[in-house]
Amino acid sequence: MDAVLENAWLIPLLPLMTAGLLALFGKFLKEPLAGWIAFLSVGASFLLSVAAWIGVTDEEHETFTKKVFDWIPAGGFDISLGYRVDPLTVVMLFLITGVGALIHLYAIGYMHGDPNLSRFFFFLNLFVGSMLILVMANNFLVLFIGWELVGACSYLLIGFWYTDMQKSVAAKKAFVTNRVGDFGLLAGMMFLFSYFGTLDFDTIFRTAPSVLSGDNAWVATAVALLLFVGVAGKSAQIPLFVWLPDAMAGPTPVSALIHAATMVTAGVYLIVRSNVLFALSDIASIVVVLVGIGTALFAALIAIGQYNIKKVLAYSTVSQLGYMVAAAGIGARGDASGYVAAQFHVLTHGFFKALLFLCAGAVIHAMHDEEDMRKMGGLAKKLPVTYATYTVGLLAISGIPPFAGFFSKDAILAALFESGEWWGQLAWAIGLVTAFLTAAYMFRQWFMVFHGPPRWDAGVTPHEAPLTMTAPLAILAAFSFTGGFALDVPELNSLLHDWLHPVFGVVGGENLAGAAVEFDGTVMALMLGSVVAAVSGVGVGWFFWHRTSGEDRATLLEKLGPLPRVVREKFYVDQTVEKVVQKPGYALTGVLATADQEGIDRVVMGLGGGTKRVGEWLRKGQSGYVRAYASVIAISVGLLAGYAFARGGF
Amino acid sequence: MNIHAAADIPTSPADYSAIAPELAMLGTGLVLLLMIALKRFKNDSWYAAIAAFGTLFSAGWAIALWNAVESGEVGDDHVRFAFSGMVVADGFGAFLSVLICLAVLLGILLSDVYLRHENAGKAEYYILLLFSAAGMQFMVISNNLVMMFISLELLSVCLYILSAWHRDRSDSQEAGLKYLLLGAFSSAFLLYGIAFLYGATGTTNLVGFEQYFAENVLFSSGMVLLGMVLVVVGLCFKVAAVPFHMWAPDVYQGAPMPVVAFMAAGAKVAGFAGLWRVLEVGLSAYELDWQPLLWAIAAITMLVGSVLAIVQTDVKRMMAYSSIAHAGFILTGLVAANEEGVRGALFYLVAYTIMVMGAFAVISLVARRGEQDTSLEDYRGLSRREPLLAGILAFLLFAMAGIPGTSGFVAKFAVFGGLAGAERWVLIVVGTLASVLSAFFYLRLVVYMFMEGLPLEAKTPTLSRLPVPGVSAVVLAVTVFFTLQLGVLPEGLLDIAGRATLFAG
Amino acid sequence: MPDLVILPDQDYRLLSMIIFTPLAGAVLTAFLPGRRPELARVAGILTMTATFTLTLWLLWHFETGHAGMQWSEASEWIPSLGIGYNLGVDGISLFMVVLSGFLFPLALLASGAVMDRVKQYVIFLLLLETTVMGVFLATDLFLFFVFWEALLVPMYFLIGGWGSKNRVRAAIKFFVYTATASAFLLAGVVAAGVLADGGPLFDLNAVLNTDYSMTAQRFLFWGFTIAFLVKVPVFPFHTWLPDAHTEAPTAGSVVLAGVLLKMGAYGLLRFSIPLFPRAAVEAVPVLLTLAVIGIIYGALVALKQTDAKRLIAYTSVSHLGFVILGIFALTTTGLTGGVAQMVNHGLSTGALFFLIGFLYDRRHTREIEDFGGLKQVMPVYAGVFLFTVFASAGLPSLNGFVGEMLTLFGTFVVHRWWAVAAAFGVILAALYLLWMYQRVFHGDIVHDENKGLSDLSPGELAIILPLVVLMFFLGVYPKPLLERIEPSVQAVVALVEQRTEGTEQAYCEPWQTTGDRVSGVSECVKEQASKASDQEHVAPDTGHASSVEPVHGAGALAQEDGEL
Repeated sequence: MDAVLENAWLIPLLPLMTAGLLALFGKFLKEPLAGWIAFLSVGASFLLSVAAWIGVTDEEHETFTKKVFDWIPAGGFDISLGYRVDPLTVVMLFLITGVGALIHLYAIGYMHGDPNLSRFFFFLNLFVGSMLILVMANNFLVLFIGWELVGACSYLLIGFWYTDMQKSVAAKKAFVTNRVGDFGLLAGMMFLFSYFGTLDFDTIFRTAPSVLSGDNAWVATAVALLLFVGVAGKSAQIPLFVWLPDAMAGPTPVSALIHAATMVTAGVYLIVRSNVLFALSDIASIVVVLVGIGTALFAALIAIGQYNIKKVLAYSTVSQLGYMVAAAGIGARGDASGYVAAQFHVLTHGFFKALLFLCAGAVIHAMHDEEDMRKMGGLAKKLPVTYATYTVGLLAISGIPPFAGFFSKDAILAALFESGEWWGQLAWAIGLVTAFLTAAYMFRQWFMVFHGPPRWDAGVTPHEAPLTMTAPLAILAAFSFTGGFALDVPELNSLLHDWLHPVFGVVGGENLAGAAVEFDGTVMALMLGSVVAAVSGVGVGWFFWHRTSGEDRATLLEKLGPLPRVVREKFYVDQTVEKVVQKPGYALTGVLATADQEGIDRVVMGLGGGTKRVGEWLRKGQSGYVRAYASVIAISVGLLAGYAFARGGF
Repeated sequence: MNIHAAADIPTSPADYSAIAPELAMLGTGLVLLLMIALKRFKNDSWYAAIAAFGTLFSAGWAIALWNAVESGEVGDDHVRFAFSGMVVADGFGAFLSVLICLAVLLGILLSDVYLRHENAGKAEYYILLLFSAAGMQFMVISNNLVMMFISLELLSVCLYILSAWHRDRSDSQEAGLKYLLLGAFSSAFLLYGIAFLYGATGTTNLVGFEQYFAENVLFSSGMVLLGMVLVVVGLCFKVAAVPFHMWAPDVYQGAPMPVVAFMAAGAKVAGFAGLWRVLEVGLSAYELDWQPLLWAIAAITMLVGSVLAIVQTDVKRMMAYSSIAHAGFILTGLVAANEEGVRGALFYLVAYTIMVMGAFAVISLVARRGEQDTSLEDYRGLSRREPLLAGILAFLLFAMAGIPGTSGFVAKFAVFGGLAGAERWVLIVVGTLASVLSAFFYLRLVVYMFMEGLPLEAKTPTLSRLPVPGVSAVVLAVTVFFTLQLGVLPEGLLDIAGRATLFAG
Repeated sequence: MPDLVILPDQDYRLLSMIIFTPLAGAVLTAFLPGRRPELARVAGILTMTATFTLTLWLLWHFETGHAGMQWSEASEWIPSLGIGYNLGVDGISLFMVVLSGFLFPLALLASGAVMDRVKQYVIFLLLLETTVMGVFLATDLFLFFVFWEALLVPMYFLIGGWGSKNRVRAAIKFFVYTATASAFLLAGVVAAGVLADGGPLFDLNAVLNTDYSMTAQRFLFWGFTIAFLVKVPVFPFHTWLPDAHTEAPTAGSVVLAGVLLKMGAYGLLRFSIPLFPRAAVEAVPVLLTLAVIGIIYGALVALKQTDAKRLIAYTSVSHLGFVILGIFALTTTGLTGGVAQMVNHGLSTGALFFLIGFLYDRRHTREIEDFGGLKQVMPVYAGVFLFTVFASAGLPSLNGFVGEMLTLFGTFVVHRWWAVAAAFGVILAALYLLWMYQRVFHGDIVHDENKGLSDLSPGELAIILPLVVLMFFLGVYPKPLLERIEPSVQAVVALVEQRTEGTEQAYCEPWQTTGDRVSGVSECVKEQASKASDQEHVAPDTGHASSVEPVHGAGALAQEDGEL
């Protein structure tokens, strides 16, 4: 299979070229055609990914890297544009191209009738291509290309319906917030470069343990933390998560693909990819784990208070990302492997969250672009397929065995607990609470949307979506069910673990993949724990949002005091950011702008004016009277004579 | 104490070839005088023509003298003293008297046009012009303070009268009177200074000074220095250096334009030559004493001239201050007191003479009859009425501002080079900054010409096109050409100027 | 001077041709009838195209991997002042020349809206091109200054004659401000030439071979540098730029942003640093600080602007901060990045000014408030604009990114914190540009005047597309650019190392940049390290300290490579 790996650069190139095609000739393409072309290109890369997978399976290629050409050769800074195919990459390739293809298919139906359809698919393909660059990069700077480009694509797609200023603002917010994160990534890269003289994955990860030891140990921490700033930006961790909920302004397929399944997991991918660097610093680990799990809890709390169907899913995404980040942060501490768990959850989450979003899309589609869950309800019969598939996704995310989410989430909790570190176990406890909340708010949504009496606006006649939309739902549902036990089950099946094993670096003679989890009492207990949490969450959801009637719920909320409002207001995060960052910042620019004109420029022009004034003053001497002139001459002569005597004496 | 130092100087009894150019100039003047006595031409241009011819004749002699000096025919080390050391025939003098001829020539051409459309023409005008020119020429070759004083008076008196030439314009009268009074005042100082120097050294011969200071050590040099500063005052007045400049704006504004142009160029040449001969030759022993003095004068002259020019609203006054500033730049050549410096100054004088002539040619065309339109306002939108004329003026102004590609820049660069050689760094910076200041006011005029629309009341095309007589066209062509040529290929003139400094008494 | 060898003259004077073709065109145009403006236009276009072809020829025949001057010409000019007519081109000036040759024809093509005194307009543009080319090709201090100063005149006329409302004020401000700065440059040039060994001698090589005393270096360096900093412009000397940019006609702004601003940086690289290396090394902290301030400050002030052109003007201040940063990092990487950034900024900002110009021709306003929702009526325009914005904001795979990365990385290895601070600019760049974009193109159309706006005409597309293509190409494959720049800047660094050796200002580039490109410790640093270990004294300045630090990493790396 060398041929495949040698030509694996085609995998990102196909979508990119299609994007270029659509960009140039898009307006000549009849409506569905653009969509199908886009879909086919992504599908093709999917097939290539399969081939690449087979290629990597044989031993000597398990990490295949190839330099395509010199990109930026300048002085000591010499970056080549190259790619790398290894197990981790392959996993991401599957996720991106697979889910990507399905969502393209879905979008054909969903975006039906949009005047700018071809532009939409141009952006979408551009995104897929960029994302593939990100995961296939063989050095940090190439990764950074993908990293930034996906950000740009998300900007373009969030603001796709640009005439709505709201959406446009959301897009800008997303891009700029990401830029803040990218700053961290950039700084991290600069550190790496100044200590390794290269940005190549191989060299850095191979030599990191020795280079970043002794005096330079602190560098590992610095680098890891800086990289984590980037992660926080992309994967929407505290405090940079604010953009993701707003990003729901984009078309639903976009939310599904970019803001649930793929782009937002790039951060997790980065940590897993540079596992060595994170493994070298406990401080970094503490920060990452706590921030991650904190995000998980915080977002879950907010999700409970939301009424917008997509916002709920958005916050749930943030929460789930928190899980992944925490797992990746704990890494190989203890004998379980957080990295594998994180990657595992990336996959399963990719399946079920994409599924949920697409279902939400189908619902919105059916409700004539209504996104407020308070105006839904009782849709179960109207949208059977959507209902069924949504339910699968629901069970998966709530962690009900044997659905996918259960295994991945459980792996994470296990990793956190078995790390044996205090922060790991603290995180485990919080994680358990979050699991409970997750089940609760997801079932809340389920009940509000599909059950209870219809609360539709007049004239709304829900109808099931076309096949192009339902087919992807079905497929994703299948994955959401099987994705868990097929990949990794303690004791029985360590497929993913073994597969990813070669990806990890070696620190202190230990491969960071850690051991595959054996099935023992602890694991048993942990599993039970999370199941209990999930089920109780389901119970609360059922009791509170199904069994209890509206007014009872209101009275119950009364008892909770201000908490519900605070939750509904998302803990006032946006307001705070605006007060603390935006307003002062803008004020500052105002001050500077004025200072520029009234200060610096005034000084400059003042010099000019000053000379003029001197001139005016001197001019007064020019009275026009001969006597005046003569006296000036006389005085000057006097002075000169004085000079003469001073020099020469009498 | 050797009173008769002067007598020891090798001389030949009556060496007319040494003063041939001056004689030619005077002669032409006398010829004109006789002609008037005998018969008047209807058309004054005839006088102009004759005067011009005479000037060319004089120039020819000067050039011949230059060649003689260069080929060394004039005696050992290319210098010859004549009339018992009253005058000296050397490269320096020859060079400058050629330059003076050029100034006279252009002056005559300008005058011809001017006098005709002011119909203030008289042969006497040209006679005075020629006599003052002769005075200048004598000044640049005089090797004796008395000689210098006489020639200075000759040139001044003629200029006094010329300044007041325009009978219909009261400012012209005023100008003449002011110039006369102040001129007399300063001449008195000059004479006084000469007296002191004579008292101190017992001679008025510059070379005599040199020898005297070489042979004797003075107990106290106060008297010499006093004489020196007084002489400097008298000469600085002529070149209109601050603080002896105040006459210039009034006179420039009042006097007829060709006279102004001629005066601006010629008087500077003469005054500079005088300073150079007195200080570099006569009082070289006191270099350390006069250099700081000149340093200060040059600096404030450059600055004050430029700063005051900025606030002017009348173009002629502005040109007056600009000429003051230029005087400052030329003086820096003396401050450097090295060959590069003097060479630069000589080059500067040539460049300035050409520029100023051209500029006044345009200004007097724009001013029309009676010199009414000389305010900045009158230049509004000139580029639309007279694109070519405006372009030429702009070019000459940029040259004066010292923009590269013009003679003005090379000239400044040359004098600065001299200063650098003498390590006068501060003065260089002062100079460069002053030239920026000057750029500022030249730009104002350009703005009026190119960037402002026509004056409001003149929206209706009352402003007819300006008639450009052929003679003015010639002047403009010549000045523009040489300004450009000296800016792009200055080597030739620089080389000659360099040699002029070498073959100097 | 080992690395600045002069190639033997070619058999024809290409550089002179490049300089004087526009001048000839200007003279020719002057004789065309003023009544037939289109003739003047044609003549201008033809001349500029010819010039561009010549520059392409130059690019084609440029010897890659060669540090020294090429196509050099040396003739006597004003021997009595020690001035020669010397031209030459190397990796530093090459792309400036080509860029100028490229932008001028486009600038004239984009001047369709100019109806008044077209002939003079064309003439001034041509004169401007001559002076610009001269500035970049002169290798004689005097000649350089001649072009440098002469350039002000045509630019002054272009701004003042064809600009918008406050053009006169802007024109005078531009002229006097920059001329004042040049006054110091002139003084410096005179002094440098006169003090040169065997002086007065203004030939660049002669001056380069002179080792000025430290005092002289200090004065001369600042004399030169002030002038260049004003031209760049670097905070706090930047206030002339917004006025000039805003008031100038489109072509003026394009040339100003695309070429003129680069002359300052070019001067630093060509004269300030190589001529006075010790003073330069000494001044590094000051200039890096100014650069960083400029980056942040320019970006912040840009955020507040309401006039699109003004906004872009301030972004120039910010972007050129990166150039200065890269240059005074004094590492091959940084310098290469600096020069590359000069080219990139020329392309992207030039494109932005073209685009704003197109809009101005339609609406005769530049106020951002007067637009909004334009994407609906001008989709293509919006697309191109966004592309340019991304390029300018340094999005990877577009040209801006390459330059920024190189300057940042090149700076980081020696002056860590400055680089980190500068990296903030990257965030802000996205902010102000996207904000402007949003306010102009997104939302609904609020002003009825905008409803009828037409999208880009084929002609305008033809002007902007070449820029777009280049921005993309140089982002994906900058090697052709970098490999031509690098040897020359490396020679500069080598010169600095050589000239500062054994002085208080001793400087070393930490990274090896020769041979196979695996970065290791440079010989210079090894020597330093050994010396340091010999006598136990700590390096005084931060620059030195941080320049030694990375070596540990690299050293360890080297060992690792050995083991594996």
